[in-house]
Amino acid sequence: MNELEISLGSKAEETPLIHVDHVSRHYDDGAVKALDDVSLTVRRGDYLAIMGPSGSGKSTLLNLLGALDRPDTGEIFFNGHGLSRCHDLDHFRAMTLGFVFQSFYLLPTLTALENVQIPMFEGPRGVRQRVEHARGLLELVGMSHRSQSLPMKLSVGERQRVAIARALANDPQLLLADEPTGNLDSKSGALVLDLFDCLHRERGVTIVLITHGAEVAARAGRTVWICDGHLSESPPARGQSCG
Amino acid sequence: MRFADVIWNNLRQRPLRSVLTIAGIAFAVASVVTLVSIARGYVRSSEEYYSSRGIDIVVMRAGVAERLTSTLREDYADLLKSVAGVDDVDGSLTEMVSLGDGDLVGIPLHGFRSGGTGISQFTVIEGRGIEPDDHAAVLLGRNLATGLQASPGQKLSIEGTSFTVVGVFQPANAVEGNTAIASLGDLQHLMDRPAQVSEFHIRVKSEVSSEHNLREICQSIEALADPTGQPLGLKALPTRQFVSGSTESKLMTAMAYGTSFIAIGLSLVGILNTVWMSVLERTRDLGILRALGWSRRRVIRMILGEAFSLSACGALFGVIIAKLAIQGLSMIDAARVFVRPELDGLAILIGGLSAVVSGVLGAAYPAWRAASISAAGALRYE
Repeated sequence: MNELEISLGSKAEETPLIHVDHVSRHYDDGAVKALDDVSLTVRRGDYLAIMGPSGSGKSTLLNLLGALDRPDTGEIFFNGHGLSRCHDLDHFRAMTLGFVFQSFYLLPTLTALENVQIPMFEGPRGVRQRVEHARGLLELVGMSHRSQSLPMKLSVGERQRVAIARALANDPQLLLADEPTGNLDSKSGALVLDLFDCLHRERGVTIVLITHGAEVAARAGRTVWICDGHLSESPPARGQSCG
Repeated sequence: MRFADVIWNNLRQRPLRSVLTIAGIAFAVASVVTLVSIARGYVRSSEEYYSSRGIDIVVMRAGVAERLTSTLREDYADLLKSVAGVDDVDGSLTEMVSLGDGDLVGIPLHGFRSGGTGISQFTVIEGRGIEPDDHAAVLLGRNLATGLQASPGQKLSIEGTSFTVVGVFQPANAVEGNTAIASLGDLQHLMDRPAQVSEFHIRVKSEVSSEHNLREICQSIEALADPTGQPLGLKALPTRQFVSGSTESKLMTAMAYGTSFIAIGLSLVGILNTVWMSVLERTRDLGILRALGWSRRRVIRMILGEAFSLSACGALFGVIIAKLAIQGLSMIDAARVFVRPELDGLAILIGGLSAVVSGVLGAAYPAWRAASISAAGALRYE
C-alpha cells in the first residue's frame, strides 16, 4: 500500500480537493494490475507532477482522477464526496475538471474560438457570454490573434495553448494534464509550462500533471513516481528497474 | 457559437456525403409527394366530375368492382325517377376506346342521353354541343383535342368507326379534359350494348340534399324491385363515397402509399448508413466531447440534429422536385388523364413528415452508439 499526502500551504484540517483511497484498477480479469491499492491526496492549490515510464499506470490514474473510468476497488473523493456515488459524472467533468492532452485533441472542424466554447455548452453561459469568455481565455493564453484559425493552421505549441484555454472554459477546480509537452519542441514546451506556472501562481489553479520528463516535473511543487501500478514519494534508485 | 452551428459545421465538413444523402432523401420525398398528389388529385378530379354536374348519387350494378363492368338496363331510369326525393335521372354508358389508328388507347368515352341533363352540361369552347339529331358526333375534352390536334368539323376514327368532331368542351377537372362525349345511342351502337348503361346519375330535390336524406334515398333505390318482386340489384352511393370507394381510386391510393412506403424505407436505410459512417469516423471526436463533459443526451441531440437537418433539406428539395415532376407529367398526353398539375397539401405534409421521421429513426441507433462511446477508450482510438 502506498499512501502519500501532498500538501502545499494548506491547512491540515481542510478537506482535500482529491483523495484517492486504496484504489485498484485491473484489466484482463486481473492479469494486468494497472493500479494496485493506490492512495493519494491532493489539496487545493497544489501543483503535482506524476512521473513514470510508459505502462506504469499514469494514464490509468489520470483517467480515474478525471472520472473517465471507475476503479475496481477503492474510492476517489472529490471535495469529500465519493465519485462512485456521483450520478452525473459528465456534468462533474464539464464543470469541475479541465483536461489537457498530449495530442491536444482539438476538434479539427472548429476554429480555436469554437473549440474553447465546446465545454461551455454544459454550463450556464449563453451564446454571447460563451464567445466573450472564450475570447478572454484565448487572450490569457496569448492566442487571441489566432481565434478564427482551424487547428491544422496552428503550430503544435499554439494548439496546446488553445487546448489549455479550452480546459479552463468552465473555471475548473482541477486541471489534469497528460504529457502536455510530449508533442512539443523545447521552446513551445517551455511556453506551455510557463503558462501552467502562471495559472498556478496567479489564479491558484490546482494542477495534476503527468510527465516523463524530470525538467517538466521540476516545475511542479511536488512530484510522485508511479511504477507498475504503485505510487512512491521517492524516485526509483539509479539503475533500478521499475519492477 | 450555437449548438446548431456545431451541427451545421459537422454537415459542412463532409459536403459530398451530405449532398448525396440529401439527394437520396429528396428523391424519396419527391416520389411520395408526386404519387400521393396524383392519387389524391385523381380522387378529387373524379369528385369534381360529378359534383360540377350536380350529381348527388351514382347508381351501379351491385357487386361490380368498377363502372366499366357495370351493366344496367336503360329503362330502370323510370323506376329510379319514382323514388321519393329524386329530381332527375340520367343514364350514362362509359367505355374505354381507342382513337385514330389505335395510336391512342384507353380514352374514356361517355355516352349521355340526347337532350338529357348530362349532355347539355358541358361548356363548349369551340364548335357546338351534340344536338338530338346528330349521328356519330363526338365532343372532345380540351386536353384531348389539343393532343389529337383535332378541331370541329374533322373526322375522328373511334374503334374503327368514323365520328365527326362537333366541338371542344372546357373540362371541369384533369380527368374530364381527356375524355370524349357522344350520344348514348351512338355509343350503345358502337359497342354493341343496346339499351344498356353503366350507371345512373341521380340529382335529388334541393330540399332533400342532406347527407342523411341522401343515405335514405340510396336505401330506397337499393330496395327497388321489378314487378315480380325480384330485386333490381342496384348499388347506390352518394357521390363522394362512390368516388373514394371506386376500384380505380383504391388502387391508385394503395399504389401511391405502397410505393411511398418503400421509398421512405430506402431513405431511412440511407440515413442510417450515412450517420453510422459519420459516427464511426468521428469516434475520437465524440470521445473528446464526452471527456470534456458533454452528456450522452447532448451527443444524441447532436447526431439526431444532423439527421434532422439532412432530412429537412431533403424534404424541401423533394417538394421542389415533386412540383417539377408533376408539372412535367401533366404535359405528357398519356399521363394527363390522371395528373392534376398541382401538389396536394396533404401529400406535402406526408412527404415532409415521413422524411423527418425516417431521418430521426434512421439516426436513432447510430446516435445511441455515439452516446455510448467510452471517453477513455475513444481517446486511445486512432
